[in-house]
Amino acid sequence: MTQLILKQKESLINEIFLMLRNSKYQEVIDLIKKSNNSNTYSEELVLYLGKAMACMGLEQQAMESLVSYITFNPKVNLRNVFEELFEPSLYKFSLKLISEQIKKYPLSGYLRSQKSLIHLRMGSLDLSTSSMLEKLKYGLIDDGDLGLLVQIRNSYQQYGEPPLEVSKLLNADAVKSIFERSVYQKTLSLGRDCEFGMVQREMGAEPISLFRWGTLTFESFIRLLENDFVGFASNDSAFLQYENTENFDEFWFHDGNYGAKIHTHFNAKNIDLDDTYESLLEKSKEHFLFLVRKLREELQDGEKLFVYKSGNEMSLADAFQLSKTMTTYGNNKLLIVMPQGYNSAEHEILSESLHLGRLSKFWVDAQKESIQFREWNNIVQKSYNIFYGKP
Amino acid sequence: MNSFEVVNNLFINIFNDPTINLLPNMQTGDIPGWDSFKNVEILLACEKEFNIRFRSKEIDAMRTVGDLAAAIELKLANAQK
Repeated sequence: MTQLILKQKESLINEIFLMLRNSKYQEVIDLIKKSNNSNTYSEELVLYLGKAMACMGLEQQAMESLVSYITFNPKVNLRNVFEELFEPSLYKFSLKLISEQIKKYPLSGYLRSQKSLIHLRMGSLDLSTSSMLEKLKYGLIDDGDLGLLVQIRNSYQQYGEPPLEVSKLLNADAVKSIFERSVYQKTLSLGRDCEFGMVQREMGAEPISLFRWGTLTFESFIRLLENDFVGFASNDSAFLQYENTENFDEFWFHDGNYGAKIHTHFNAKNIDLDDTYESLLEKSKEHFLFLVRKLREELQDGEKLFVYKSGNEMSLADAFQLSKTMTTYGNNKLLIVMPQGYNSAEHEILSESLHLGRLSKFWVDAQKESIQFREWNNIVQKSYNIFYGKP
Repeated sequence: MNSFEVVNNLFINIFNDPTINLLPNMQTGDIPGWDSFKNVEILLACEKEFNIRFRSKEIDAMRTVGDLAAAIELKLANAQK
């Protein structure tokens, strides 16, 4: 019986979707009112009723319906409402609803973002900026606002110098920080160890990549790329080894063909009761072959800033060899980071696709506290801006 | 069952926690033990369950569970065409 009711509800919702798409608003209202006292009634219907009423210009009734829908579960339903209403014919109505809801939820960052986005879509750049400044004032701006901030910045670029309010927004520390952190979403660590992976984490990025938490020698890495990853994580070459030391308590994945060693995060505390060495090895091979697939695609797409940490001073010949090998896949940009040697320059451009960066020192004993985050960030930001422009 | 509900069930299995009740805006770190390693496990489970393959760009565009479910829906819809 329950299954039947669920199917009926699903069928009703589908019917309403089609009617809304075909602008049959009165039919939607009639259908929902008819189902009010039946088994097919659900919370979602209140949302679609509100939308249909809004589309017909019945603003007061639409407001009542949508406000009651939001009240069921504000955390989720607030977003559902504005996603459903996000179309040009409903922008003005949405702004009215947002104004009402902001009185009820004054610290909702989401409402202010929506207000800003709608103003932007309506061509009111100054009102869009004001909404974001309001959001900034309440400390509500976050990484989720990146897209909107980029649109605001790009909208004013055609005018040369942005107006004062836009400058105030874009130069705010919180906003500059968002732009800086966004760069890390487009970086990819090639090892040789986990230090840059920790830098990405510190900057709020958690990309999944093959060598973010692993290592192999430079020569092996070149060979791996030249071989198009063939033989990596194969049945013959892959094995696990448990390491229980001061810093680590987990199984490490090893590849005998290339001498790679990568964290698995598997340890006694998080493996299944019925896991065996063989089952963990299978899971690990699957995991890393997935990451091989991903890395291969990323190399082909050529849209990331690849970062390779060289443990010691790398010769220019080696640096160019790595860059050249990577560009056989695609138009790849590489930043090689080395310790400060005789050349204390922080950042060098070697070619259109190769930069060098130097740190005063690398981390010590894999301790996060010893990472030179500011230096790493300076080098990465510089490289990214030169290769790709502003984020 | 829609894609979101299936993904919820996958999360229950992966985290071995029957109380998991995903919200669309949940992201890495919102469940204890949910880190970048777990994301690979989640993606692999989704690929197997829905018989799809995610491209690198699609993975990079995912920030939330909602994004994951939407990506799955889009792939399934494209597969039907």
